[in-house]
Amino acid sequence: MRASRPVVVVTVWAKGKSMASVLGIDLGTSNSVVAVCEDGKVTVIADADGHRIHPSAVAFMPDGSVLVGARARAGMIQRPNETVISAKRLIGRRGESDEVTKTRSRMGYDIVDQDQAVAVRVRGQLHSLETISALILRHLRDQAEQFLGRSTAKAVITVPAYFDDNQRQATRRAGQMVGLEVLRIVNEPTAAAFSYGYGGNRSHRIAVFDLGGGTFDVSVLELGEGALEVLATGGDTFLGGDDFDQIIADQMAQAVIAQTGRDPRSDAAARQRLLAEAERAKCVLSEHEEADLDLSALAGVPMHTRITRIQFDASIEPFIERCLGLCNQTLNDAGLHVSEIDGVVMVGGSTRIPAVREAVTRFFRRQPDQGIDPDLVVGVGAALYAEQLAQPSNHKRLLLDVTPMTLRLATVGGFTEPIIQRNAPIPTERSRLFTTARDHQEMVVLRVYQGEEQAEEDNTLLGEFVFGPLPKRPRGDIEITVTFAIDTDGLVQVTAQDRATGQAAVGRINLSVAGQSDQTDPANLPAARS
Amino acid sequence: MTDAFAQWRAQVLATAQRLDEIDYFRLLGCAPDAGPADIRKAFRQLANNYHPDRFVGQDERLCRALEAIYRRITEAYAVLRDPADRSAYRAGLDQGLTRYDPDQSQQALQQSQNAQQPGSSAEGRRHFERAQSALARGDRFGAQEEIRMALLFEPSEPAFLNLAKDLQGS
Repeated sequence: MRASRPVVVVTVWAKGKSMASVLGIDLGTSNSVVAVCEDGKVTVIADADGHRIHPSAVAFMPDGSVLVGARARAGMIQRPNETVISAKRLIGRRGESDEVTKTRSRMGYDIVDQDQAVAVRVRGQLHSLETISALILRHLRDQAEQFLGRSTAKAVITVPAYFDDNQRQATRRAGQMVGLEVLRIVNEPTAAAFSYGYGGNRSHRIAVFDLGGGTFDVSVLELGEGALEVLATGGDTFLGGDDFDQIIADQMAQAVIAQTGRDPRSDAAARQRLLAEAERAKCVLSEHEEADLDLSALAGVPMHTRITRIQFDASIEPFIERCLGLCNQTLNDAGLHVSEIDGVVMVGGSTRIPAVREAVTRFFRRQPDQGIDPDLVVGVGAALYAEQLAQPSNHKRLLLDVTPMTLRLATVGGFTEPIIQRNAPIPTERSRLFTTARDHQEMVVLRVYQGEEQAEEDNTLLGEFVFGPLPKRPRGDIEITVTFAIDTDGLVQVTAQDRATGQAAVGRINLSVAGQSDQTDPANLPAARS
Repeated sequence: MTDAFAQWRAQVLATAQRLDEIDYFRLLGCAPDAGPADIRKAFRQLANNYHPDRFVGQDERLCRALEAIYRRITEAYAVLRDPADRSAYRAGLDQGLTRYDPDQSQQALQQSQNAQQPGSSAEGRRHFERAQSALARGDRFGAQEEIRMALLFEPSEPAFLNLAKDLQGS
């Protein structure tokens, strides 16, 4: 296939047009993008300093105000304990998870276990991860409103395709906290595909390889006949550029220890300095064969070393192998051979790394398509889809997406059984009939999970649903039809009906991670400082 | 509202009401022996016609009806594209189950498979199956042994008697 050309040209749009526009927001681990589409033209919105990429950083200042974006990020080394970065790696997760443990060891801010989800503590105050994301979303909306010259209240927000229900719910609530009506949660690789102008009459199958700051997704799509159909998706929500920075930082720390006998990672400010220097080196290595590392500030004495691209490539190889393994699995799930893929789209800043590009080229046996900036492509696609949702009469291309993980129900003995298989098209639902197992049974309890494992504990718990109180009857006398639904946002809903009466079973309790962690009243979000 | 649209809307509302009466094949407009490519094509066509995103902003009743229909379309597609689920679904459908239910449909499949096998006891059927596979690999002596065992459990099963006669006759 020819190198694809983007259907959209990213241009600066004349201000002052007064129509309600829906924002397309790519809420990233390291950086976020906000874009708006009007009359088919997408504008990626820049901040006051002209930057179109907004760091996903939130700093809490001594006077109680907050800084968000580039200014928060700039003060990272001065305020390592008061600046929250990479919140996306924590959102919708439980304290006991490996991901939380790993993030805790890297970050300056305090990560605290709550009942159902983790929160962060900064300057003695607890903030849910939704609050952090909400502050970033508010900042992005502020940028958009300043640019547009009017207020906006609606948005399409993207999430990693491999985000589970807890993470999606939390993201949606973050939008609501700042008064954004979230029209849709769209998967990042799907949004990226939407911004590419494949198609015409012939249908194409493409793979989207999305390696960002914190997450990896791969999706296989078929594009054609007025629709984008996701055939399969896979990923890892804890694999990204942050991990590469950490590897370089650890090597730098070893060098400092060898020189001075002191581990710079024991100090939060030094740890952030290490990570900042590591990230800088990583970016240099995408352009050059080696990068100088200035460790003087860390060692306390003049100290320089260097890292070569060969060294860097070798140390990130296990991560790249993991990505390729997931590509392989996703192709299998789609029932396709690599030779049946007509194009590969690269998304996310980490796809600038030459070793990543080479590995993808080798795996898919073709050069990835160059077109839209990999940092902006998701935001651009979100804005395009937002416009389409806002003006259904102008509907051009449907998005037919899938659920990334198998929805499971706990059975006896710590096992689960699948209810909706992964890669099932959404929105969808399945119904199951349950009967009471004991005389006068008062309630039916269902524990719902997402994941690919049989054992309960190896999957992610979404919630426990309790249906009752039931009327007193002999066992088997009461039949309850339980419906498991996944909506267009990829969100899970469980409802139950008494089969005989057709009445909804009462007393639904949802112990989802997402429902519990809110501590901040939306009205009490800290004031932003401009 | 144009007449055509009003008519279409009424049809959608009516379809949503009686979704449980419509089996997956009728819903997708496919023959029960339709191949994977036909099933896929039907799904894509229906997605184009019914996907809720195409009707954002329409009245709530219509949107809810479309959502219900579309969810059933994806359900039908997911079940029919999977060969194992599909055969269980067909067995369940023969018993009047219009929706796939992992327990009930699998049970129906089991029953229909049993019904196709001669014999009324598990032991009789097992030995009969072994006799057949012994015969298939050319082990006539083994087949004779197994059919003799099968007849111990069900002495008057015609299929067992026939096979025993065939084995003796040759």
